[in-house]
Amino acid sequence: MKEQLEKLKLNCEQELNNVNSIQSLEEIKVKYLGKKGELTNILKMMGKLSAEERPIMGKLANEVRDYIEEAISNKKNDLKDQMIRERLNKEIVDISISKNLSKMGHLHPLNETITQLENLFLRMGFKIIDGPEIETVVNNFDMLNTPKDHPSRSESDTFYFDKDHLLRSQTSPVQIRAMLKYGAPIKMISAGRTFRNDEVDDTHSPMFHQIEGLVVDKGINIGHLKYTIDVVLKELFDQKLETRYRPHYFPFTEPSMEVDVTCTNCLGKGCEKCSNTGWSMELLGCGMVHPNVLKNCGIDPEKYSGFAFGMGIDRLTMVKHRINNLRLLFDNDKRFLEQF
Amino acid sequence: MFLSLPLLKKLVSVDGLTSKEIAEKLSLSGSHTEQIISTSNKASKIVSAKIENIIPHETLTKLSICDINFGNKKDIIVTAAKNIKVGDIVPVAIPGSTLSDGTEINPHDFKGVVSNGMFCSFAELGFSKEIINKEDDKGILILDPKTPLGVDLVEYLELDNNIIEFEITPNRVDCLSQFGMAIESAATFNRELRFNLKELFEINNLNGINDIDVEVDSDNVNAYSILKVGNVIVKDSNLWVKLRLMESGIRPVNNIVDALNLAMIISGIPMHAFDLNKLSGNKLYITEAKEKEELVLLDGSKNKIENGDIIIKDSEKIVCIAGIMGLENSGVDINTKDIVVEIASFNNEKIQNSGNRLDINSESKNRFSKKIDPNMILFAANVVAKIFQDMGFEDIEYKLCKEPAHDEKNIDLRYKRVRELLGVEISEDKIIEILTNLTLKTKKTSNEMVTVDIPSYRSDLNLEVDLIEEVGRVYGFHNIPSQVLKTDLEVGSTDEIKKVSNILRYLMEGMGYTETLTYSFVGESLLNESNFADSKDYLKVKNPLGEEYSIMRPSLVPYLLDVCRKNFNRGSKKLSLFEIGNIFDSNDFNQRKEMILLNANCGDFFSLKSVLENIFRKLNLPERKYERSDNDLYHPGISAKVLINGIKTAEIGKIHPLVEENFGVNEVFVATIDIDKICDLIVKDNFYKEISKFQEVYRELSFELDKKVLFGDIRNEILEQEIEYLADVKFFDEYFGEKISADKKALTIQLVISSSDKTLNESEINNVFNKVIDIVTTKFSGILRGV
Repeated sequence: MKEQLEKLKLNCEQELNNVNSIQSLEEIKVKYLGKKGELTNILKMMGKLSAEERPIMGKLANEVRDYIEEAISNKKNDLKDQMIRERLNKEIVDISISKNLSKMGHLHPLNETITQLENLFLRMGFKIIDGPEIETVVNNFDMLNTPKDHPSRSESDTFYFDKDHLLRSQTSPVQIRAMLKYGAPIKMISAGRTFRNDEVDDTHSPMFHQIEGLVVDKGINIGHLKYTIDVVLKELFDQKLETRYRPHYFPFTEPSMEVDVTCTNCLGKGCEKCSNTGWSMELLGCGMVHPNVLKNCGIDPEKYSGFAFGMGIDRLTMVKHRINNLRLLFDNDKRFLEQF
Repeated sequence: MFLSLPLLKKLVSVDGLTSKEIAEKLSLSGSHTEQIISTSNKASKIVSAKIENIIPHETLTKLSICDINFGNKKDIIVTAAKNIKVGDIVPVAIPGSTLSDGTEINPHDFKGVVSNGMFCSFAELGFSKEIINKEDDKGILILDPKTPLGVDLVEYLELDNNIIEFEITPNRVDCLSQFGMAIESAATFNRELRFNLKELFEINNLNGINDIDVEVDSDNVNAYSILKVGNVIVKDSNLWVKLRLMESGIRPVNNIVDALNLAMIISGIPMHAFDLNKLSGNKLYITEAKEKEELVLLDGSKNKIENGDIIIKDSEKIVCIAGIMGLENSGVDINTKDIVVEIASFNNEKIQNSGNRLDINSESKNRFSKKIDPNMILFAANVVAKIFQDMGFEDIEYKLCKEPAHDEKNIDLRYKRVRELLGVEISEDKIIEILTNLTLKTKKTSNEMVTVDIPSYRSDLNLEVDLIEEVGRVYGFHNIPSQVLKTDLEVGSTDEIKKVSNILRYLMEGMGYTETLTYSFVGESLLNESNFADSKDYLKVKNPLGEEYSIMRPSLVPYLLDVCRKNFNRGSKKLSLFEIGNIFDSNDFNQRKEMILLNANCGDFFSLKSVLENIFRKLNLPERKYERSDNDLYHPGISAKVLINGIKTAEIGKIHPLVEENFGVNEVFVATIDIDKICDLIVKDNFYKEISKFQEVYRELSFELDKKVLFGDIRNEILEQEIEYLADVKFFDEYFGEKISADKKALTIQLVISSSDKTLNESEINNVFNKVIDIVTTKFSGILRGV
């Protein structure tokens, strides 16, 4: 019986060596280990053995069975590996090809600049307010302390509907609306379309965009204004740009200033683009809210002070993406829009 | 505003400062440097020399050979110049020197004669043609006979200064003069003024005029005076005057005109000179024109004055349009012996209006269009008198005919307020130093404040805060430290429309749509092309830039079709676009938010409808009802209006074939959504609905129906009956064709049958079936087809 088991083991080994499919492997498994398999047949003869021999043979039979089971299992793994390898070798694509592109949308770069700024101010606790494109003369000029003879009031500068209504020339009237509605203290920004009677050229458009900010509270000073502006500029420009606060004139702020950043072309050395000054000009106008404006909105300038700022979003977007012609922003050329 | 630095140095001690420093620091104190113009910074080693002999070149007949003397050295220059003579002192670019255009000078052999350099003209020294006097432009520059020999002319003539162009804000008219800029410089650099302010506003050393009467008969004359200069000789100005004028962007003409221009640059007051001997009678009348009259102006042009223009007349004729331009009949010419100079101030709006109507853009008109302080005429009179005296004219008299009004004005300034608003601890002494340097007199009224006298030329200073700005800007806003912004308001917020708009923008991007940005105003032609109703129904801009910008857009569609057309023309015919923007009604000035979706060659009606439905689902809007649209913009059979709770909130359709033709586009589908209305309809609560443990049953039914019957109507009708276990009715399939007549269609609907608490048996399902068949056959004349 021992010889039979040894032989069975040997035969099985030989057969396994020649197997090359999972199916024939299964057949071998049935042939040797099945209920009617060869090993079972041999084991049936156990009863004929002596009491001394039985445990010895039993142990041997178990060893043979374990051996065959393991051999089959190993063979099975080998065969699987081999099959996967063969399949993977066959399944190969040219990954350098692009096809069946899924549809992709694009957001307008100018609106994305607005969103970026709005999200920043939202984090800083500002209220985001939308103002109307058609404004009253009162909100756009009078309440903002604009002198009666200020050139911006003329029809050659501003679009009118009648003597009381116009297309807002700035987003500043939203300040007025906000102060009248919410009073002080207030922290708000408003972005939107603005209009001026400018012919279309590479840097001008009758419609452009501004973002306006206003903070009114007790004890607000120029230091707070500078902090806020610096945060904004840091958000907008990755590269470290120097800023300078240059006094300017706006009817609705006093003191008023403009903020320049280092010329992005020459980084301050002075070049043709910045007229040899080293500065990119007029990125932003700002100042402390004029006491007359506060008074006009029913806020006591002796109790409260505030700062306001306004920025041209079109230029900002152009600087950000190095867009060299303002017209591109309004031309809606698919080839332009799909770059963003 | 161009600033000539040599001239500035006459008025304020800015010695030792480079033009770059001056530009930079003045920018930071409020006079914004627009550009720094380099004139002669490239020209170097230009040396003065005297011409001692001139002989013609033997072979090159157009050239002359000049012996020149540098004082300590002699040399030879070959030149083509014709305006030279022996004894002239001229600028010589010697070998190794550079001209303003960068040309390097080397010795040059002119057929056997070596020229060691060349003579220079104004242009070669870096001045632009427009500001060079015509006579001077004809040849090389002849220097003053007193010029020392062998000196570096770039230095000697002060050509090594760049010219700074400043942008002066409209509130600071005083800074459109060297006077104003001198004060700004004094304050910015904490330096002394080189003139006595008080003396220059008083007339002390000039005799009065007795032989000319002046009658002012117009309220629009703020102040009027005349200066008489006798025994003048009209000739070229000296080089110093010419150079300073040219640096200020003004072309030299002759000594009289140059003197007035120089005085104007310094004082800001434009002046006009009459030839005394061309005036009739001994009286000048300043009055307003009563009638139209054609006049010949100083520059030879003809123009027509109208009723109300301020004019100057002698006893016979009009001699000047006040503040704008003099007339040819009385101007100074080469033979003029005696002059009368008008030094005056007029109502600025009056001058601006007249000047604009006459279409004259003279320096005088441009300056007088601004609100210049009338008191400056006294300063101007002293300055121009001094310039004439320096030119050697001694017979000078002056008469102040209408005195400028002078209101005393003072403002209290609290130190505490300065510190509160600027956010910096600035000392009292510093505050007073800054104000004093700005020529503002201060008087300490208490420990807390100072009273500040405001001079007439600072009409921009009216409130305490104006003075705080003065202190702040001279102290330097850049010197104020940042302070963290901390307020009680720490939670940001956005309004509903903005929130929804942003959700939609990102949703659209995700669905493959590209955002456009179009103007808020459209043209009538674009509306017509889009089949929009008569344009009189729309809101119009009174003074539009042009037809195409004249109407506030009543819809986003026309512009998007235009965008579509432009892209088709550029070869992009597959488009998926969207935009969210304001639209306007004719009857009021209100705006509404609209969203537009546009597909061109990107699927059919149902492709766009599914996008529209995604939007509605994303926003959690109630059940939508689609009804046929009668909008002329759309194909009548392939368009719908969308109702939610009975309110029209959107439209969708294929663009009408005729409109497509107008725009040269095809396969364009558009949807518009009224964002304002949608925001009101959004269902805020979005609660979880229990998922049934029992499987839903799907059964299809097919009917033959009239072609016009809408699936949606059938669905609504069935659902309204609230049949037990019927969860939904869905569209499954439709068929048109040979098997049924042309006016019919076969519609297959799918019934979704389910229960939340049991598995349904066949009879319960059949019950639903029969009820649905009954509704479709009785209410819609449907005929059940064999399934």
